[in-house]
Amino acid sequence: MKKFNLPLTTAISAAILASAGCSSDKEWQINSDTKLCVDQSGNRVTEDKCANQPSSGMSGMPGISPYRWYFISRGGYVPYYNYPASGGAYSPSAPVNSYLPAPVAAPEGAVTRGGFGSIGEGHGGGGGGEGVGE
Amino acid sequence: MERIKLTPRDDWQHIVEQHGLLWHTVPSQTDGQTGDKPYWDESACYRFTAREVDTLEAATLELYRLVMVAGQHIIDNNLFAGFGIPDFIVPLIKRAWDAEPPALNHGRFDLGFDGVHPPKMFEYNCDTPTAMLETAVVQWEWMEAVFPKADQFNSLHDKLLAKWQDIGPYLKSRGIHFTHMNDHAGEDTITISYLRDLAEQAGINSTAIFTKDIGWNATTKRFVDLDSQPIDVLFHLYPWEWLVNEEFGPHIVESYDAMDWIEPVWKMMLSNKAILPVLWELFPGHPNLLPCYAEPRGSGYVKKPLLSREGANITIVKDGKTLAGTEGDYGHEGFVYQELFDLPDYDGNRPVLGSWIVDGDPAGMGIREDGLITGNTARFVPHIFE
Repeated sequence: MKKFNLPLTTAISAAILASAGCSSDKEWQINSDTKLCVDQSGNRVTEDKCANQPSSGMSGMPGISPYRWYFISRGGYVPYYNYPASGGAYSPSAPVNSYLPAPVAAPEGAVTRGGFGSIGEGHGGGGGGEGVGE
Repeated sequence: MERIKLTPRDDWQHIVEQHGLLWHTVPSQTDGQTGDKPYWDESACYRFTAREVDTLEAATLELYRLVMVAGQHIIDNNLFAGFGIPDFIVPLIKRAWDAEPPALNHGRFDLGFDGVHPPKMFEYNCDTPTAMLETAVVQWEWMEAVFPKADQFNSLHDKLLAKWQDIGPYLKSRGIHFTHMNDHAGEDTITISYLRDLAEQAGINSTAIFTKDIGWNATTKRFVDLDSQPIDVLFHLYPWEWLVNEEFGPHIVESYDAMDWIEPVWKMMLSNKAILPVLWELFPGHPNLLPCYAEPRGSGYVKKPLLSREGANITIVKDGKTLAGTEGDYGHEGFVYQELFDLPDYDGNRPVLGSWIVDGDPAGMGIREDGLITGNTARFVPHIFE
């Protein structure tokens, strides 16, 4: 009889799955009013997707574009790409020109996340034998 | 080679779950089916003779030789454009091919075989090959329980473990990050857990991280984990063609010298179906190859996207008419046209043999059963030989 010593295989999947959503290092604090682009689910996307969206009032054209501007006041937190935006609003609470674009690159020393995994998200599994593997 | 009908063990679901196979059942309404159906299917098995296994082992060894020759040919003749590989990653592919960085160098040849004629290669899955746990562990445990006097073409577990032990001293760190998607079915999660178990037994520390959680530190030019610590060695169950085409793709070049990637980037060549016409051009008439071209020829062929997975976007043409096809999101990168191979038919069950290799050493076999096209709900059926 061959003995397989697989403690992680039998135990760690639950721990890995439970860890989803528990990471806190997914945003950084801003020191000025900032606007960023979100998708229909409220997740941050690259700002070029909102390039044709108006920046004032209830921005975006629901039913036409899935992307809208989202306004965050100074002291709020900008999420990394693909993570949900919160603490702001879809309409500005100050003159719209006072909102700076969200930083595309991370602040010095900061870390950006979400730059891998997007294609795989579109190929999500759901049944037996259906991972991203070959 | 024969297919034997069996009565599944009582509570087989619980048994295979104990070995980590959580995705043993395909839920109802997947691909339009009604009712659950098994993915792990022990209501049958395949029985081979020792001579047939020898044939499969020899073919696997030979096919590995062929794909390595083809890899060198791709590099020598700069054929990357035909593979849909971005220009910026080509220099790294060439460097990695020559440097041979530490890797498991594992892969799975998908073969058509009827027990009589030489096995024919459909493709080489060597970037993110799965069906690994069920091949290496679950079907072995099944054999010991159901056919204790039989044997099995299967040394995958031992050879993967030995390879981790072999490459451990050459890694940039004895701590490896293993990344994968947070998949609903658990297949990727458990496959990674299995590989982590093997690495840990080889004296390597392992940490798991979801692919979307990998960070980039623009100051240090390093990929980092959730503690913002640099990643020195990354095992990725996430395809290279996706990594390089995502937002962080260019950072791979910036940080390349600071880390080890397992598996290496040169696998973008061999796992791409554009290698199939290259193989046929280099080795026309080889008994283990099917004719394959960049354009349709003849009246019977299989149209395959260069980069599809799990049987997506496949079209089968026979006698000039479309016989079967699958939907999917692949194909933008182009197609190849491989001569149609009639899989053996066991009452509507058509097996594709997945023959594993670890760094040039044949390592066992797992069988998937389906209809004309082996898709993502194809059943895994165990095997023995006597």
